[in-house]
Amino acid sequence: MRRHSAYLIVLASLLVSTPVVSADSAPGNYTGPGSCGSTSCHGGIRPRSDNAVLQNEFTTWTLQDKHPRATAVLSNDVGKRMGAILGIDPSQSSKCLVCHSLNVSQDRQARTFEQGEGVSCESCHGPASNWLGPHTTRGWQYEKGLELGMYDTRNLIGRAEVCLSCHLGDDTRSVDHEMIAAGHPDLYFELDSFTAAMPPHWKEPDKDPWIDVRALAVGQGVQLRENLRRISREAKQFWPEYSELDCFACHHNLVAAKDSWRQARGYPGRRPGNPPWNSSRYVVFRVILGQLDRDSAARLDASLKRVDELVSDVRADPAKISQAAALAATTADEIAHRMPGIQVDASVGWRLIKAIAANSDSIAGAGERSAEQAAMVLDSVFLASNRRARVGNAEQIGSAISALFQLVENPSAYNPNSFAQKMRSIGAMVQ
Amino acid sequence: MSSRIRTTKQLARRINKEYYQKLALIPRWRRLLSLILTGVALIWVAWYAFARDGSIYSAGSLTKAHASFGGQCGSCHNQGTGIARTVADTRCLACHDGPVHSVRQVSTPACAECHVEHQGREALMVSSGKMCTSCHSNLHTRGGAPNVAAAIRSFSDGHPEFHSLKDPGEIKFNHRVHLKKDLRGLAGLVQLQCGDCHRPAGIGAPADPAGSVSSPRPSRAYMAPITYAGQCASCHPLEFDPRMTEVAPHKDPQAVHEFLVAKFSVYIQAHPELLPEAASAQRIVRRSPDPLAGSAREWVLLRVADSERLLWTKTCVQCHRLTPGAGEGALPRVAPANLNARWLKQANFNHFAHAAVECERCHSAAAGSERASDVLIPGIAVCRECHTTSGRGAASAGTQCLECHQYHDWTKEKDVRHSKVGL
Repeated sequence: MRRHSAYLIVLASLLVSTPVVSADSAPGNYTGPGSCGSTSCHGGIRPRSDNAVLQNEFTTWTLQDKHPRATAVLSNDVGKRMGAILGIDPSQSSKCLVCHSLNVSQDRQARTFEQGEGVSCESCHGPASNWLGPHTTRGWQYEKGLELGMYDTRNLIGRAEVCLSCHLGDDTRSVDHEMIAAGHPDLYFELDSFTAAMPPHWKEPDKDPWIDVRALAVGQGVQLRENLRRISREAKQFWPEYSELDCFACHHNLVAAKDSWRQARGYPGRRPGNPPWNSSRYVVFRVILGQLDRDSAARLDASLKRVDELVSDVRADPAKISQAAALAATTADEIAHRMPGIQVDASVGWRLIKAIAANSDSIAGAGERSAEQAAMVLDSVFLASNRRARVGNAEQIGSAISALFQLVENPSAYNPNSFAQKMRSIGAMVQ
Repeated sequence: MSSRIRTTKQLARRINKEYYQKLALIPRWRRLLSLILTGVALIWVAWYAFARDGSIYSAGSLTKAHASFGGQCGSCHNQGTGIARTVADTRCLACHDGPVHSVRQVSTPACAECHVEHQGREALMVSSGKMCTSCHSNLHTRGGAPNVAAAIRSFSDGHPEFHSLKDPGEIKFNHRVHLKKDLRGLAGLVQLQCGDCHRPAGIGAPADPAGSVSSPRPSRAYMAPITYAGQCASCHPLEFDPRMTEVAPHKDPQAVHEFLVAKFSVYIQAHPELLPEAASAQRIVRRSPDPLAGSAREWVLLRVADSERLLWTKTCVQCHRLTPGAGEGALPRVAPANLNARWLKQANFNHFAHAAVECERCHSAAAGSERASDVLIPGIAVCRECHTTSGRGAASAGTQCLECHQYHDWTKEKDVRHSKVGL
């Protein structure tokens, strides 16, 4: 048994210390955002229909995306107040700039460029110095760029990893409870919804009609794995790291006992008074997985049960938390890699919606962030399904999903019972 | 014995006793011709003198520019009341300015030492560099050591490396990218050549209204200045909105701003159905919503703000250095381009005269240059490949100082108040 756990610790630490996307390991240096935005390159005013590449990516990014403004927000009122609370200058601190800018050291800059242009091309596509020149030439293959340092964002797992390196954090980027207390929003993510909101500046190269559902499943798998890796890292430093726990277990308006839905629901599976894990990256994914890959769902449940118990127990031994999370991360990683090739059929979307609705109580009961995750997933899956086979009551379903979003708009006023009820009604609308 | 036929008397008669009183044939002609020819010469001289024509004294043809002085030696050669063999500088300076070569020079040659007249119709200037090296091969200057090389014996012996100016330009430009194979242009892959952007000033330039019939355009010696409209616009249009086919003017930010306001105002008048804007069916995630316009005025302000963000942060900064304006919506300041046309201020160069040489042969660093601040003027070694006295024999392109340099410092040119010179 001791040998076994020693092996697990080694395995876990290997996994934790090898992030799949690492800016520092990619070959080449950074050329800065201006290198891509020429009108003939990616800075056209409108998409070029004659090309597989739209060539107006830079314009979309400048005009519609929030990423270019990521650095500027460090100096807005909230940013300044955060800086005052944390005793740092957010516009200068690498703690902030790692995600809010293309933050690379002088020796990785192929030419001098302004870092204040937010999250720019190379933040997500990798250092360009080795492929910037050749990638416009005749006969260029996408795969050649990957060898020269371009990140593989056509690969759904690679894409999710790039997003999550900031939208969840990695071993060099993190948003902890201290930062949230100072004013940083807590991190949440759902690949398909966030892609749509960005909005996408690309045409999906994969002709697969269910690419968005596949992307959603991949995003769920990778974010769970990254969450588990993060817990494993944090538990080695200091525990409890409150940002891992359900915010609204503590941050809620206290009401008279007779009106408390929390007390009415009870605290199944944990000691009353212990704040529960923010399991939003797990509770929806396990339902999705139950529909797409039943065996994997069972294995995931088995390895997550222990993580859920330990993280939701403030008296748990941090070493055990780290170990359990790292072990579960290996399962999540393996499952995430099955997602791009998952079998999808025409009815999958509606089955997913029904399954999520059928788990309304457990999802809504897992907290506000889980409810929000479910709303995003329902929205994505509904849009994807309705695009392929329109249903008569699409408008009714659409407005019911909008109502779900309204129920999570004010987290302190969140009520799992009304949310679960709304979810169930959506399930009933789907045939 | 018969009597003698030849008597002494007869013999004596053979001798003309009055031979001394009368000239013989040759002396007579000699005297006659001496008188006639001298007389003719005197008449000839007198004739020209009477006609006030001095051309008979000329040492050779005058240059064309001075042709109108023909015969009037005094125009240049008068000195006091007479005529001098040499011409005083004051006579030249009556019409011409001859700015000083250097205020530190220890001796100044007379104009005529270099500008030799009566040598034919074409050239007034000496073409040999000997006059230059007579000082520059062992240069002494007033007020301390010379600030140029002190021992220039010829172009290949002692001439220093060229000192090109530093680039004062504020334009970002990457030669390597523009010259690379398969450059992506607006209509597909292109291969740019030097001459696509660098065109001699005279070619295609608008005619100079003050130009002459024979040369109405600027000289082709130097390249025409690079301009946005001439060189950049065809690949870098100033697009500002997907709804508009027009492009923004390449003017200062205030002019661009006014253009955008005008364009969008016209557009929204033609498309009132766009108002009031409703939230698009965008996916609901926690993000600050995009502002919506309720009125035409708000719509114009929002679209102008979008277009300006696109132009200032994407389009203009590609080439220009912009300083953001202070405050929300304030217009940025654009650093002046400061494009330089001449890099070697001490010498002249004529691209047209070198048209047979490929650009890259001299500007070999251009294809690899990544910064606009790289000055791509070749060094002296490149010139010496052709302009040498050794090894090339008749194929030498010449090494005279005056092929590149001028003696007079024309930056010190003065206006000459023309005096009457007797025309």
